[in-house]
Amino acid sequence: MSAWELAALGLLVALMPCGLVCARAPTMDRLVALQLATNIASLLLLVLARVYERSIYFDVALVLAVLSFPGTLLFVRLLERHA
Amino acid sequence: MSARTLGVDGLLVLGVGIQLVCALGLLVFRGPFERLHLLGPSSGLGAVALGVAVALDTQATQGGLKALLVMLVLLVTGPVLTHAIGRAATLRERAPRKPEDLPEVEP
Repeated sequence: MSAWELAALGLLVALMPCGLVCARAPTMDRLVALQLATNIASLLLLVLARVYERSIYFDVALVLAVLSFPGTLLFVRLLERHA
Repeated sequence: MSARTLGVDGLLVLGVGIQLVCALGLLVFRGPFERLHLLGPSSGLGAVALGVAVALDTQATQGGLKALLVMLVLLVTGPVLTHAIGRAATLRERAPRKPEDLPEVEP
């Protein structure tokens, strides 16, 4: 197992506490956990692109990182309105 | 083992370690304001370490530049989102309670 595969495994493990908090915590805590999970998932896709050595896979990580910004802002807007 | 490989491995350990500590911190901290502190290292130093590690180990035309771009996007949008989530959490905390949310009082 190469260092890159171990790094991908470590990032996969790091996603688990985020999923747990997303499932069980109050609303705003869930949003924080979701944002952390998005960060980790973007970096996981980046590492996986290096593992599989396919340059097209880097685009997936880039699209997730860019689209998570308006996505989280929409969640924030919705939760502010329902305060 | 060359210095470059050693540097890449060190950056990988640093990046993954930061993400793991931040994720485990979610289970230790309580409340949205404490947990918001975990987004900083994750989208800051953790993203930089992993992005630079990938960029160092990949040719620029084969995705190295895109790795740096992902790192830059996370670095720029992270603080903005942290501020937005914190603002929403503050607004929700300060919002007046609705009458139906208040506990019923025994006569």
